Amino acid sequence: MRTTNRILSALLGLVLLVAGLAVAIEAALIAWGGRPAVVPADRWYASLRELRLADGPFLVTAAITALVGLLLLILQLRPWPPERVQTSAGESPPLSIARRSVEHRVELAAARAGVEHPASAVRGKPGRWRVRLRGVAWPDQRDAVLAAVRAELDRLYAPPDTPVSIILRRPARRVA
Amino acid sequence: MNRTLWTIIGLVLLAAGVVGLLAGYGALPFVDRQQVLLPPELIDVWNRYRPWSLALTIVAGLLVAVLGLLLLRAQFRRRGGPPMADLYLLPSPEPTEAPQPEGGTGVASRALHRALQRDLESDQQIRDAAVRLTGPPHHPRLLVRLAVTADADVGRLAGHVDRVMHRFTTTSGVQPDVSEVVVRIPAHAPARVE
Repeated sequence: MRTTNRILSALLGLVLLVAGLAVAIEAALIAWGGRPAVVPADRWYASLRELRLADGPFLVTAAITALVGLLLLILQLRPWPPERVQTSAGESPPLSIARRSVEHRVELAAARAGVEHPASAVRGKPGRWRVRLRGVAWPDQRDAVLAAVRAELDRLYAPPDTPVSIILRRPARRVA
Repeated sequence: MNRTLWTIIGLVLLAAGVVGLLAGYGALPFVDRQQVLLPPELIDVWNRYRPWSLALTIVAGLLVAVLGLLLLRAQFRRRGGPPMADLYLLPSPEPTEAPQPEGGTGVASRALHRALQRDLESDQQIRDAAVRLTGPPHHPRLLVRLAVTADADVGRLAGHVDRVMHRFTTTSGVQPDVSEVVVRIPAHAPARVE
């Protein structure tokens, strides 16, 4: 999301730069008795003089604007996963590990313990995080999977009280 | 910063859209829903102040363009500000028996960066180290990014980083304030060939 925001902001900056320059240049052209070169100002002027607040195109535009605004708000205000998480190794400051690295390592450990399609998610804050693992395995494998994930987290020097939640779906059929 | 910006943009868009919808459906008592978007009164005002309204538009357009440029530039700026300036060591001010040499010693900031990076990479577990010193040369802030081997031991890495910092302070006299050491571990990395 941080990268998305950065790209969005760069695009917005570019749009503002181009639009601002276009407005300034077109206004200058009109001021010196010319006609707008790029912006179809006459057409926009004519349609804005005719379009009423109750008209369909205006209502649709307003609805889309409100929806985009709502979507942006939801995306920005919901909690974001941490970019990196702190370990208990090292002092001032403790070593941090990239969140994706932790997720990959947990998935590999779960796969070694027999989980199919493991998907791990690290959530919380960099200093206080938790691990969630989803995958396909039989319920009787749960303890072994949990032990494998815990062992992997220990190898990564995760804080010892890091919460781990495991959600397993049953395989379609038992393979002998 | 971007998160705040887009939260504000989201709020403004949502408010504008909702007000537009309310006005369009006649729910706002002070707005006639049959009103056109560009009413004749507004056009009158524009024409009455004709040279000034155009001048104002040009200025507003230029302002928006400058804002866009600033926003665009901010996206390409790296974290933590510009890299620290070159270090300049003056002779010790304490009186000594031996005559003090004139002048001082300059150490390029790039040389300090490279020294720190090479020392970090001296450990077999570290494939690639990136360091960034920012702020005042005698007490800079330090950001470290380490790409390590798949079998790297995090505890040993932390010990190595501490020793590198100690060596760096002893040799350069610079005591960095380590603000972050981030480790990246590949998911499927080939074993390192010795």
